[in-house]
Amino acid sequence: MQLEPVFGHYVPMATLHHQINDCIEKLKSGQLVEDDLRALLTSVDQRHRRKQSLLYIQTSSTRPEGEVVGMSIFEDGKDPDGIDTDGNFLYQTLEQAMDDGWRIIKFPEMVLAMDEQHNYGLGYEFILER
Amino acid sequence: MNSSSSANDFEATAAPTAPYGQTFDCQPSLTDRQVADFCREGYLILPSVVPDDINQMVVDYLDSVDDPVRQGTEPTPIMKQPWFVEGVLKNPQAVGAVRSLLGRNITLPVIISNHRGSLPNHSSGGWHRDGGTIYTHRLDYLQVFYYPEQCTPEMGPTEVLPGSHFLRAKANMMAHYGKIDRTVSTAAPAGSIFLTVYGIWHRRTRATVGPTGRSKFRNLLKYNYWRTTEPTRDWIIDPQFDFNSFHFITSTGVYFEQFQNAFDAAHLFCWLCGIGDQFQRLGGQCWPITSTVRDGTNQMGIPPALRTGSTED
Repeated sequence: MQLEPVFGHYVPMATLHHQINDCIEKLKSGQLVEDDLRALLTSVDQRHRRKQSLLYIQTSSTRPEGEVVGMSIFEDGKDPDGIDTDGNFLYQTLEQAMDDGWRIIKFPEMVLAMDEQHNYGLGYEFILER
Repeated sequence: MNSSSSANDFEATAAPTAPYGQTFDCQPSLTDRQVADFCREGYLILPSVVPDDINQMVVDYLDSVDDPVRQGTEPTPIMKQPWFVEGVLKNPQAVGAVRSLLGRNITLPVIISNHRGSLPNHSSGGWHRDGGTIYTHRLDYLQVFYYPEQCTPEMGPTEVLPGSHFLRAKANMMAHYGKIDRTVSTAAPAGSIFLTVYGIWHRRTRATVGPTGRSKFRNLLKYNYWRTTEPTRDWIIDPQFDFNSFHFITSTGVYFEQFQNAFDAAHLFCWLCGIGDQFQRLGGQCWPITSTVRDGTNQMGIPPALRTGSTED
């Protein structure tokens, strides 16, 4: 069987946990039905068969808790500027992004920081994916 | 002229030739502090300096040449219109600032570009520095922008990143940048002109409003002035200005190695003063980073011509 790609909204792990706990509670009370499990399955599919998304976060230092100075996101349905409806960064820290399912795939390029006299690029850039 | 003016109407008022690249002189209008501010931030916004009647004629002209054949994106022949040359290119407040930064006998532009943005435009332009940028502590030319109509935040004004004229990057390697903190919007009233160091990072922001104003487009003219003389401190000198306590660190200093942009800005300022050879970066707590010195103390390494109590010109 050929799997159809599922490029729906990203399903955070926290949402999956909530759905599973909900199923457990329904199981305990005898209310669990097939549709509950199929909804859970859809969420799992969306989480695992989704197109890779990229998040760039520039910080003021190599410290992961450092001040976020720039952001961009390349994910279906998301503003590429990495902002919310109020114009603020989607994540105030790198940690918040990781809590939302992003994994670091590239740490800041230290070669660029070796030049004593000049500065290159915007801050220190972490690249994340999910 | 009015909103239905045609290109033929403007041909009737055109001079036989345009003053492309001609030199001219005027009085400087910036003070020591304003020149130092420009060195640090890399831009200067002059709101509402062009009179409304000139602004309206510019908009009419741009609308009359709005097609590719007539080079709507590069309406350089507008320089054949004497009212444009006098009212915009030689606008007293604008060229007073240009003259302060580029010295005597500056050249008029040789091309005029128009960033004519459709309204709305739901995507922003990418961050970039303009092609031809070099990183230097010289200032031999200025990139100047002019809004002939009001440009509100909803009309996609250009935003700039202060201090980024010393932040090295290739334009193609900036394309993935999105929101950057501490940027400055150039949203401004009609007739506003802003000057930048050529290599400053900038982008068009998204336009969320539909066709607006007289033109129904966001028009933003762009052109360069060039230096023809060696730099010297011949702007408005303020005898009370203290180069020891001036804060050369920009609001985006956090994007640099600590104090790095202050050294760059101070070096540029020294070059403009004609004392580039006096600039030295001693290391440690040297000029210009020790701006909290007290009681008229000179920072270590401050150029002799800028020392408190200096009698040098």
